Amino acid sequence: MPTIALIDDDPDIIEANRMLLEANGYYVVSARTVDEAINLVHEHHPDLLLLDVMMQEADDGFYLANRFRRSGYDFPIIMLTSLSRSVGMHLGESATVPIQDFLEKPVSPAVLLEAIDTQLRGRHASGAPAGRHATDG
Amino acid sequence: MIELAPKWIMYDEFWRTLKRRNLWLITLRYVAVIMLLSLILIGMLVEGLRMDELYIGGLAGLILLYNTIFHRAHPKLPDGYGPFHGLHFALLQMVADFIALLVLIYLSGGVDSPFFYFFIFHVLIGSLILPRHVINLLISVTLVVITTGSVLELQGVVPHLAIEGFLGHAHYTNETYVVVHIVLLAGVLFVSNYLANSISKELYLRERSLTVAYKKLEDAEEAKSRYVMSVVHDLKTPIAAAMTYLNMILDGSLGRVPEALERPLERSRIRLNNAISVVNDILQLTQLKLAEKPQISRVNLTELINEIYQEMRILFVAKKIRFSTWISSEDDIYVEAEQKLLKLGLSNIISNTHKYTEKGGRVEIHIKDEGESVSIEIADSGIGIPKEEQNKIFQDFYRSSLSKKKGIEGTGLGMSVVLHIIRQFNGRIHVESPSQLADGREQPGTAFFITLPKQYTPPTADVEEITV
Repeated sequence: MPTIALIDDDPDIIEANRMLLEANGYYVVSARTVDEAINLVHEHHPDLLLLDVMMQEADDGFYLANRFRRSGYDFPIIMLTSLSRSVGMHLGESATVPIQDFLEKPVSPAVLLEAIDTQLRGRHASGAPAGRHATDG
Repeated sequence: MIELAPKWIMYDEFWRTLKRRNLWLITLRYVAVIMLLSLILIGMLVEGLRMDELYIGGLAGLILLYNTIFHRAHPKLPDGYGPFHGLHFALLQMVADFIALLVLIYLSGGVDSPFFYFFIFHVLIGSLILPRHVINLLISVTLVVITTGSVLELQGVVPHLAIEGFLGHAHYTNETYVVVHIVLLAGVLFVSNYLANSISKELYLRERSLTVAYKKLEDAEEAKSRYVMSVVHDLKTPIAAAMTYLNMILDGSLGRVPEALERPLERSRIRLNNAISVVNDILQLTQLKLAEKPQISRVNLTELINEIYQEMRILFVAKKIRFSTWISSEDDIYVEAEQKLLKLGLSNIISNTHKYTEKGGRVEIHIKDEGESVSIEIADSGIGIPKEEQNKIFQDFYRSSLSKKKGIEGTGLGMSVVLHIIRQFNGRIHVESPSQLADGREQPGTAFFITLPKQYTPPTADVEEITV
């Protein structure tokens, strides 16, 4: 069962997405702050990250994504943002974050499930290991 | 280097004006050379007038020479403050002119010379540009030179040169005349300097306070935009959370929805979706207002419009709207702009043509290469815009009476975004209704005319916005 880490400071977003993902056969772990997120990833080595862009700080999402990549994690990251698409893209470009997808909140269940499915299948097709060789601490 | 620039003039506009005024002095000096040459010509043509043509001609040549040097040096002058700046340049010009004028006065009769008036003119120009004490010093030195010269001429130490035949009786030997002349000259010069300098200083100060006020307004506008952005973002977060639940309920992910609840829940979703699109429009416009320099590249306009159409094709096909694009040249047309912004602007207009055109209507886009610029005309056979509302549609949150009457959803921000983007690239946009695609009185249609310069230049201060 693939593990998905939900990182968002909004408890309702976490709860709703958790219900959706668990109903669709994923194992879900979640974190609401930057520190929690670092511990969570270190502990669970998730197969995919659903990451909110703005948490306590406007760019916490980018900070985390960069930090995980520098630490060697190569799981796919899907960024969720409530900023409108053109604005979010703009932030993404300027920060040049190695993320796989950018979705605008609110995401419809179908779109979210498809995005997750695409990323996970892409990884298995390319034969990449599921991000379990990381060294972040 | 002498410090000529007092603190109160340390702002950009002053230096730009100063550079222009320096050039103005150079241009005037060419006129002075022509006047001197004319004087020689008059001297040769009018019988009874005699002067030292050789000396005066030599002086004209000398003025021409130093003016050419100034003219060549002028473009190298810094646009702002520096170790050698516009005020030093102006002072050098003034000193050179005072020396030339003193020589001319000596050649044309000393105290009897008709050219004394030119001093007043020079003092006035100088006092508009340079600090008062500098001009006072220049006047004092000039007066000392004139007094010494006059005394030496009076005593016969220095030969008296004059335009013979101009004055019936020379005054340079009349002591009283010499004294009165110099005292009056001193009075006129010092008072002129005082008056002109006071007025110009007052004007500079007012201009500077306006510049400062404008800057403060800009800063306030930016702070407001940032505030709006964070408020709107905070508004969107709970709506997005509620929508996530609602989407799952309506999707059946949480179990079957009782039939009686389906419609109220679906309506809730539609209304929340509307709220989100309002929030998105505001976020977009605020982001645009906060954006700094656009990232300019060469944008293939033909390709861009095709791309936008491809993205919206399905919508046009569903409404059976005939969509056609006409391009004036065989080759692709390019403009320098930020691709993403231009796409957003054009998408907004094209999506409006779809929104406001009824089934079976027409939309036409004409792109024309105009040499230095490109014109884009986007016309539809839609509901049109009443004449009296046409200049309002570019305002934030303005929605035309027709779109409200017909119940078409919208925020009234789409065209503000368009205007903002077009202005970023120094382009122009205006609207006409009825358009050439008018389909009877019910469907007058709308046409947007955009002109974009091919070469990007940063937008200049928005005069229209200031005068409104």
